[in-house]
Amino acid sequence: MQREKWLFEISPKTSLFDLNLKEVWQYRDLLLLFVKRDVITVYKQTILGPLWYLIQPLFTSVIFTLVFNNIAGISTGEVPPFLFNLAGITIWNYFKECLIATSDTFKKNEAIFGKVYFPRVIMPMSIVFSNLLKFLIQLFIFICFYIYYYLDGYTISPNKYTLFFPLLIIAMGIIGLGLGMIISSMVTKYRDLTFLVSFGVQLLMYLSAVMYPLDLMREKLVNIEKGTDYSWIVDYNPIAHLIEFGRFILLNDGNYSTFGIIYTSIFTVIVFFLGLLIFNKTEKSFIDTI
Amino acid sequence: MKKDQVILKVESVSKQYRLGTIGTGTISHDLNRFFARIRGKEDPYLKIGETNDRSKKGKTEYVWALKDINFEVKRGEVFGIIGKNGAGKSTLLKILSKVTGPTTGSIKSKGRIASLLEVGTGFHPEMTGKENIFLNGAILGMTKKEIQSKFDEIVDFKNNFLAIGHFSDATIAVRIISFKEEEINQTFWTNKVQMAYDVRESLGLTKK
Repeated sequence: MQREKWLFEISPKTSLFDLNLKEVWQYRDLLLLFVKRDVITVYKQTILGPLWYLIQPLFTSVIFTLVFNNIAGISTGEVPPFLFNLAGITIWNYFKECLIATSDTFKKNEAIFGKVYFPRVIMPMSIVFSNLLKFLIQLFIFICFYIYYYLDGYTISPNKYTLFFPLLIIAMGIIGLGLGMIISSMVTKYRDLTFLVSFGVQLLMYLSAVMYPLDLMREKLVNIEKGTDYSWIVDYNPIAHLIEFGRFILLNDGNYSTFGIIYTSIFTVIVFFLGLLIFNKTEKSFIDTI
Repeated sequence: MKKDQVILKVESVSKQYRLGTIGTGTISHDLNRFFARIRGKEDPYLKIGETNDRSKKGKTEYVWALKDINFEVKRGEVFGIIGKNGAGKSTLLKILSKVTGPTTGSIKSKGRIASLLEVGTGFHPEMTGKENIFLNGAILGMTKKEIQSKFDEIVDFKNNFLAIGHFSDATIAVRIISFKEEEINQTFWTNKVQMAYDVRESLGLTKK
């Protein structure tokens, strides 16, 4: 008898590294359709619609400028504080949205995951892509203010590193996706994590140099008199490095460290693959535990 | 194509579930399992031999919903599964449709399997019917091109045969049409395991 050929096989023991990326590629149309669905439906039945994309970063920037620059007196050097904050928030928002939206993938899609099979990783990936669109709209408004301030006589300019901006955004999205996949996998078993995420992200923003220069933050974290040194908080925070680097390439202001860039790159790759592995392992059995 | 060709083979499939709420104790259980595994020992919570006839409460927190299921389905065959409440019919179907994995055993198939478990899944009320058909087709593993080529057929089917409700009919239409004759083993599963193949045939969708 000839060896029989099967279209597919279901078995309990699959290797941890069996990521089945080929299958993900076969489902690429589904990915696009999910992105389309997110974009179409998110602001249905709202009056201002996509304008919310713009209102949120602008208002946040205004408040940050009032609190951190006017009240607390943080100096942003040559750069107008409003633009400084807007740059930080625009980049930070993309990370935040990716992380928060992907971190409840399993819980939110329980109904559909419980009935139909498709590579689950399509879901968080589609979130990262649909948020990219939102990011581009916010970037556009940033560029508008950029031009306004430039014409107003401020010394801001892009530099040769600006070409790396897309890479920076990809890294931001991937870290958000990776962390989101890890968290969403763990949430299926330990629901407590949802609470941690919602305020953890909030706290992380304050540690990620969104509204102040990284150097200033590092400086203030070291207290020679008391002999305490908390500068590791920013040194080992990849998001802080990404935001600082982002501001450097957009505004030609601030500083970036080679260490920071290398560290962040390695972190990104590790988090992404770790996320994929954990997510992949969870997708096989999560429906029993959720 | 041979008529008696086996297109679905289920070999010693078992499925274990954990009873009770997930929460307290799971971290320690997980750790126990993990240590048992790295020491090369058996999973301490998998105890084969525990009977599950639903007449008395099991001793352990873990229960076998399915134990050692074997069967084969041949091409063109209509295959039904009947059983009491809690016998494991739905669990078997869930494993067949890849929604959850088996604890042991394997399943081999020569066709795509579509579950008809509950209709309306994946349909978004704020999108148009066309957008929904595309999304639903893609969820079932069709490419955009495939859906495009079958779009009229799906709409026709919906209009002619299933003029009831709003979502459910379109979902069924997508599911029944979405499979090519060659690649499907005509294995459609519904909640109570009726073969949608009969539906296809009576609607003249299968080529003879």
